[in-house]
Amino acid sequence: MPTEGIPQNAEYLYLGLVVVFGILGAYAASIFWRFRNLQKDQQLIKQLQEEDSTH
Amino acid sequence: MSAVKEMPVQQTSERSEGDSMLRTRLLQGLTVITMLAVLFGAYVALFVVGTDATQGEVQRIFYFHVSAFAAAFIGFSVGVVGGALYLWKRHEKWDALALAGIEVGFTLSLINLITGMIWARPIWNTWWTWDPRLTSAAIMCLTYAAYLMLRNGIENRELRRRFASIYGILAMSTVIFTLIIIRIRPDTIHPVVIEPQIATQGAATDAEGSFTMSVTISQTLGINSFIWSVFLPLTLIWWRVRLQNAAEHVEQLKAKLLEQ
Amino acid sequence: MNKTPFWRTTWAIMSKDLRAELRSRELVGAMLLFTLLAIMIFSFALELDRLTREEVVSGVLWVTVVFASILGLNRSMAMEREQGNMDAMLLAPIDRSAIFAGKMAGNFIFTLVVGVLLLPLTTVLYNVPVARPMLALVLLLGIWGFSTVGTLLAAMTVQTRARETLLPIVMLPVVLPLLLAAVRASNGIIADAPSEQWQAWPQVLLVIDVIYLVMCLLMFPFVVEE
Repeated sequence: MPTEGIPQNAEYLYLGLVVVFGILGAYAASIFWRFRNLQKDQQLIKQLQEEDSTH
Repeated sequence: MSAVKEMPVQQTSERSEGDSMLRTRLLQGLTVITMLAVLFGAYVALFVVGTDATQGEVQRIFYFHVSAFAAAFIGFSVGVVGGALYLWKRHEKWDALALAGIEVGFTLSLINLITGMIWARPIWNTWWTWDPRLTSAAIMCLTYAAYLMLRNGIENRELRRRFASIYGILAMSTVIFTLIIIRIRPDTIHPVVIEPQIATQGAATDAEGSFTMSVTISQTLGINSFIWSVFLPLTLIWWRVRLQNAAEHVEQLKAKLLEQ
Repeated sequence: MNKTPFWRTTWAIMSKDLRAELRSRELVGAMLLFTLLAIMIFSFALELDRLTREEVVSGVLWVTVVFASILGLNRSMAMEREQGNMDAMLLAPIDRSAIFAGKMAGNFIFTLVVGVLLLPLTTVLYNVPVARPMLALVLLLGIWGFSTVGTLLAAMTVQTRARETLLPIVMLPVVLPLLLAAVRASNGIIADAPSEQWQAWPQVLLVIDVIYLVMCLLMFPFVVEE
């Protein structure tokens, strides 16, 4: 494959890929984390309710 | 009035166990399919299609850049549909859908914007230029950031849903503006990608950044845009709606706990 | 229930706002002072010489008008809320969209007064002849659009926690298409370009105005329902 004349800028492509999959991954992770936090909240609420009912 | 509004919520929580399991399985399957599809699109974009002779490797960013915009457009459209349906039906699930669509659209438009900047650095020799297309795309992002801010600024939940729906519909005007600005501001240096390519096919590439599209390039673009604008928004929005439903559920539990 | 006709309601609300303004003069006064300050600050900040002044004057004009209109919108909606007038209007047997039309007409007139006064002011201070009838027409179309979107959004933001801070954030992106068309039209007019070069822009402006007006009239009832 002749490479002369073609600009050598693959590093920008790699940077772009990091951004594309980085942001997608970060968004997926944020949804995951928010789910986790909600589950923790829910458990805490259940715990509190049980404590309430025992008293 | 308020009793009528709360009825469907109870229905959702009483939904049969098997039905909800099926939905979860379906969503999990869809997630796997989406991941594979996106990776397949990336594989075609990175290894199958040839390198652009004038721009070099960096031109491959375009497959993701354009696809991200297409996907963001779907997300924002879901925001409009969800908002309109909420104003009409007053069921909170429509607002959850609108919020999910806009949040996903916002994330994808960020990808669109940043990949555009990374592409511009070697091609235009600058990260950012105040080109009309770039500016309106940035304003589009800011509009949806304002949407999320507006939501945070309202404590009353009914009011929040109503205002968010209205603003989500109004904000679509910036998306349409970004789409048509190439037509009304011909001085933009942004390449026109989605337009009949007959005129440019075989024509000399000009130094500014527009390029000829061979058949394989437009096919790759088509495959990626399809995958991104069908699978990605569907999966992400579905997850986000689930998250919203779970959040509402926890909110209700909290409210009940405080009442005791 | 018999409703007061749309136009009579609109007229009543608008003339109420105008009369209140004629007595207090606080809104237009504040807006005018603001525009005066703004064009002076632009002049200092951009260190304008004669040539650049001609190039940037339409941008300065429009940015000033937008911010002045935001100033007025915030005040006009806050006034309705503070004195409980909004609740009274919502109880009255009138069309909700007529409330919008009335408030919008009031805001439109205030901003237009400021905008029209700004034209001779800029002519004097910037030494660029901007006081022309065609520019006044473009100003009218642009301000019409700002007041339409602005009235709807101000009615929303006035009910939020952040209030005054939120209005520019939610309004500026949405009025951007208007701003672009208005600046383009004004540039052509100020540069004395042949009319076929810029006459598309007032038309674009008119189309956006109509679209926004219909959208806002339809959506305002959802903003104020209670």
